[in-house]
Amino acid sequence: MSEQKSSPSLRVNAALLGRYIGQSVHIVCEVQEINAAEVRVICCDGQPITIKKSPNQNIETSDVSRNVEIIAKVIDERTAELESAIPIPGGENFDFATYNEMVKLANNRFSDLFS
Amino acid sequence: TTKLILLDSLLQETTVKNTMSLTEGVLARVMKGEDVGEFNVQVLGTKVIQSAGQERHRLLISDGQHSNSLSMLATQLNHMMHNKSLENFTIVKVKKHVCNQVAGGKKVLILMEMEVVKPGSEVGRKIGSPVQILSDGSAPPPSAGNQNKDPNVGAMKRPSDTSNSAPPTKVPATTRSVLSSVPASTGGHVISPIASISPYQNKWTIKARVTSKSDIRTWNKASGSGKLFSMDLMDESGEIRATAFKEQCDQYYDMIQVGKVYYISRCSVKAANKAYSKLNNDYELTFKDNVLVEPVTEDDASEVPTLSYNFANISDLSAAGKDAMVDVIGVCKSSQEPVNITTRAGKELTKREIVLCDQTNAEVTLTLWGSTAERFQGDDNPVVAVKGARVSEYNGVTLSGGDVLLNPDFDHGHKLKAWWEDGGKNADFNSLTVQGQRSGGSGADTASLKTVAEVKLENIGYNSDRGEYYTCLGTISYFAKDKALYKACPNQVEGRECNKKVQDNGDGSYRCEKCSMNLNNFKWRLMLSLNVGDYTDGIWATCFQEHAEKLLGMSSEEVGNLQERDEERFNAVFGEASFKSYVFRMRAKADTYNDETRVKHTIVGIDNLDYMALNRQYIKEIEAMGGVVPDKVNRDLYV
Repeated sequence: MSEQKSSPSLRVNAALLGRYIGQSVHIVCEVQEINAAEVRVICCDGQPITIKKSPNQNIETSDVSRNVEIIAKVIDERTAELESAIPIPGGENFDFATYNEMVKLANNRFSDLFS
Repeated sequence: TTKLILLDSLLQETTVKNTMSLTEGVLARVMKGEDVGEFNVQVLGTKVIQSAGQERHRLLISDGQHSNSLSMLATQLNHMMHNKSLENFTIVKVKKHVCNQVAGGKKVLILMEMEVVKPGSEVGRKIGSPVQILSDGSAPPPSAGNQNKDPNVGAMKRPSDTSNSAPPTKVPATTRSVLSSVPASTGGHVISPIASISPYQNKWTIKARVTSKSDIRTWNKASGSGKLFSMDLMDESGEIRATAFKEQCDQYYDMIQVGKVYYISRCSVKAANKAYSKLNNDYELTFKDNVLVEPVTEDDASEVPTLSYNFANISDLSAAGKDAMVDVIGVCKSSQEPVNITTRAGKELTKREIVLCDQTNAEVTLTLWGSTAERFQGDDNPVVAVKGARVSEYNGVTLSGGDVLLNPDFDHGHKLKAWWEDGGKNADFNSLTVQGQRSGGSGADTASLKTVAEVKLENIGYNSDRGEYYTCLGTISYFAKDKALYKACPNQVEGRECNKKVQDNGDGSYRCEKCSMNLNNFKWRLMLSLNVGDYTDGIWATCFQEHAEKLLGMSSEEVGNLQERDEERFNAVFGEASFKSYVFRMRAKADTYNDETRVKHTIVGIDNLDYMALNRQYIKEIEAMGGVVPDKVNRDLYV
């Protein structure tokens, strides 16, 4: 992570990707498949998206859980470009549903608080 | 002509024969309670009723002399309806029945075991000219023929051959189009379905059953005073809430009874306030000055669905979960007198505890409030049906509130009474309500948590001599680590440790004043002073041995050793323990010392946070801050 952040992190689900094209967002998701050029994940709202990466980039998943937080730059409504990723600590029981509710609230009704 | 005479006598013969296959006059005797053994009757009509969430069938049966429309098929015989063996005109032999008295002096005949003697298609016609038995079970005087009787009374599906000139035949509820206003039965009203009520149409009358009624609420504020009561109304198309204010409140409060049906007209319609009602309707009603409320007799009201209950077995209640709303039916085993209590907020309430039990051999305490508590009659072990009681985890499992119906007229209730009389009353019951017990579940729920600012604002601890308890979710910001440990007397006195602080004699020995002894060893014990805070404020609290060890993550002995030998690691213990959050159960007690009264807060319980549950709760609270989204609206548009 090289940039200095001057505003709160953008946390999104699959449905919100399209709103932030060109921006770096945080995506909390479950890794389904890792290939050389891309990672397929299921977002916290249950929708799949594709994370593009270069072959020398790697996504770490822990032994017990495939839940990760990915920081990526949005390319389009279904794709983003990997910047970095961390496994979610103690993440195998992660409550995606509640997290998704928070994401929706933070991006819609209460977006003023996060800008 | 010969042919005609032959035909006529044949018909007469057949009539006589058929009448002989019915047990004429038996119904009057059955309804009087006579023991009649098996008897034959003819089915003249059937109607499906939704009662207590169960499929029930109401029958019109005739013995050739009298007919009875208050006959119910026991649910174990429902299959006879399903396989169409009870078509109209069928002759049946009733082998087992029971006659029950229900609220209102009515007598209901329950048919428990039956077999078909001759199917309706073979009989082909109504036998005799039976006269309707009255709802209290008595036979009308012989001169009252039923030829002119309104065929719609009793709301049976009648054979259509005789009623062309009668008022419009009632269409069975299942085939009526709900959204069209159908000319109503008696009363001369044009009835609209509840589902069609909107603010754009002012002239409508509904025929609805009251499923719940609140107590009268009064208020007295600077902006004025007033009173109201509310009720929930239901018909086949839907449900809606109605409120009566001031004069209408006074005028209709006593008249309107839960479970009864009324014609209601002339109310204003406005958007529903979802905070007060969970009913599925965008609108709610307010009685206007010229509101019309007219009671409907039950006979004329059978197309209006009855209260739907979804009864839980009492033994299943422990699995229901805190704050669940349940329907329960049971026999009232015992009841206490109503008592008046005053809440902390200064409100006066009437409260009454009764104990309900059912055939699962479990019993539970139900708390009744307000007028329901005052009106309740528990003397003769009535069957009590409760709708919408709240499950609470106070004292094990208890129920609170709900709409109460005594000795209700449905199968479940009859069966319960039969079970009770048959020996149920002598059974051993497993009580779900246990005095002084706190049932399981995660520590405190956020609704009962106090913030530190509230604790200070409410002067908790100053109000009572004995100490007040509260729970708060806090983070430890500071430990007074230098005074955390003290040297304690290790003596065992009467099986317990003395633990009094000892004096250091300076020569390697220590004196315990309580035991009047000199000892050459001691035990390290913890008495922690710490600051607990949340986003509102912070407060100093004391924490003793057991809880202190939990917070620091090691025994007092180990902490003591570190203090003596390794200052750096000693400090680290407290550093590690700082800024952790817990749910603290606290006791606040006033202490007077030198004319000064201060409240001391002691930690008496520590629970780890259930983050998942807390997050779920917080999301709900955050959403609510932005206003509640109505159920029908697509939440994703607003959230």
